[in-house]
Amino acid sequence: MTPSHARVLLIACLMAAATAPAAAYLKLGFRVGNRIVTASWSERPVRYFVTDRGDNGVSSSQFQQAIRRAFDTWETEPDIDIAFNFVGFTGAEPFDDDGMNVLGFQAEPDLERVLGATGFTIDNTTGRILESDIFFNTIFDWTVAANGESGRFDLESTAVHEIGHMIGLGHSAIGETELTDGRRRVIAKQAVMFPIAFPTGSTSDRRLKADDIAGGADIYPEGNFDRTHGSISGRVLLDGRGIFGAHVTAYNLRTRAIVGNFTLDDQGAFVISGLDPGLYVVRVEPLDDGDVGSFFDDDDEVEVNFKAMIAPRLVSVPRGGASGDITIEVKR
Amino acid sequence: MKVCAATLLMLLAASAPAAAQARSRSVEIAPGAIWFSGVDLGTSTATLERPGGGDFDLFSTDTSLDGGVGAGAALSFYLSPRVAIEAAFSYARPSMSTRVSADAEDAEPATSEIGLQQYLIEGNVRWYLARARGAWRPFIRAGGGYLRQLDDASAHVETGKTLQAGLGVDRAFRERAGARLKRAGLRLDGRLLARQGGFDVDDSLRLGFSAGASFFLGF
Repeated sequence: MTPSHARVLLIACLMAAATAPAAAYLKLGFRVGNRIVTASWSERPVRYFVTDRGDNGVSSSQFQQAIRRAFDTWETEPDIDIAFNFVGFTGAEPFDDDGMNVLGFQAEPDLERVLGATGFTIDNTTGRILESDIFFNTIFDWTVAANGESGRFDLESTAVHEIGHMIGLGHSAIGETELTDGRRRVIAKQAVMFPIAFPTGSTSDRRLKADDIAGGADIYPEGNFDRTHGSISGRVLLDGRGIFGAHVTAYNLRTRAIVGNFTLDDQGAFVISGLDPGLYVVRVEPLDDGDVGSFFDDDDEVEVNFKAMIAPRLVSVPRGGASGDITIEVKR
Repeated sequence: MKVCAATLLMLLAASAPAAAQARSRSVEIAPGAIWFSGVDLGTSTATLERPGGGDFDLFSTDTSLDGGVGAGAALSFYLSPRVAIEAAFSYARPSMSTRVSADAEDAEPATSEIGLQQYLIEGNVRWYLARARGAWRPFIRAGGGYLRQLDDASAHVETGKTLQAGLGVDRAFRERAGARLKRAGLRLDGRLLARQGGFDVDDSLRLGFSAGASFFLGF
């Protein structure tokens, strides 16, 4: 680690069961002075290694193939300009500060609800990602079966989620959960980057959803993506003041796609990018039924004491432009 | 079908009086007002994916294009005393509204709206069914059109196509074959308007009505 680099560990992980809310994609970033720096890879393809040992019935070769398919899911998405290169197997461990991007199994019994996690070494002046590792927790049972396997978590699905973090995406909150026996269980979701995984046997998260694609393309826009897609921006106010951490989603009336983001400053400002042109229903809800810490570092700043509401105006998103600021006043 | 075709041919071939004959090869302009009915654009449901693959309903929407009044104008050319082709243009500012309900997190049902600018460019044919001078003359009008809609900020454009058919009547209050202004009168019409495209929730064919009133001037 050099003075200009900061190691950020466990900033992003996928939970088997946890507390969680409902919202949309968030880019990983941090504050430098008065500005937010977004984490991203400047040099591509991103070169990665895979550990040379399997676990729990998954060989290193099977592991590597599942990981490759997960990388391909992001790489072959037409709107996202990202590429990866498998360098080879390694005896190095994930989360070693060795300048290598390593993915592998690791036993983390203390993280009893964490399926996997992604760590970074980031240049904290530019946001450039220098290194990123991913571990998959061997306290869980894994599978690489083509159609998934009952009682085991799908390695490829979890890898798609963690690779989303690896390229700079935070958690999405487009999902609904319920509390059962003190644990929050996902009822439904529409984003791979939702912080809670589907139960064992599901392979649904092998496919990116609209919110994941919008987030990835926001960081790595392919070709003329910025000219063919648009954004919605505005403010969310409560009692006349901007609020931080409100979850804003945009629902495309024609495509049925749902993409969202959060208000990210004290003025209540939000921007939802990577949207297909067209008309949108905009909905605001509090991040009130889950672990706010899955999304933001400082839980205290997040305003959750208001009711979900629909914006009174349909919002038109132009091709290659912004909607123009809208203001949504929510109530307690 | 054969009877209809024969009837049409007879109508087209029938002889016309002098004043009506004067319409042949003449040009007419007709500015006026046009009313569009509201159009139901259908429902949709915002869904999330359940672990087993089924849908979880987040909220439901019901969208419609509200009716309204606009302005328009038509330029006609008479191919014969009873048949005219016309190019028509209209402009209206309807609102589009979406009722959102059944929210999974109990957001109160609400209606979201946006104002639109609507341009409709049409090509039509008018067939006159009678030719009594000084009386109301019924006609059939049918054609196709190009629909162009913009949001109220003119930021986004959606285009579509229309087919329209209907009935109308017109009456010339002044008709002088030798004068520069050959005739002036009033035209009323109503029609069924089928549209596909524009601001919509899918590509379905939408049916609505419109009615127009215009003054025509023939040269």
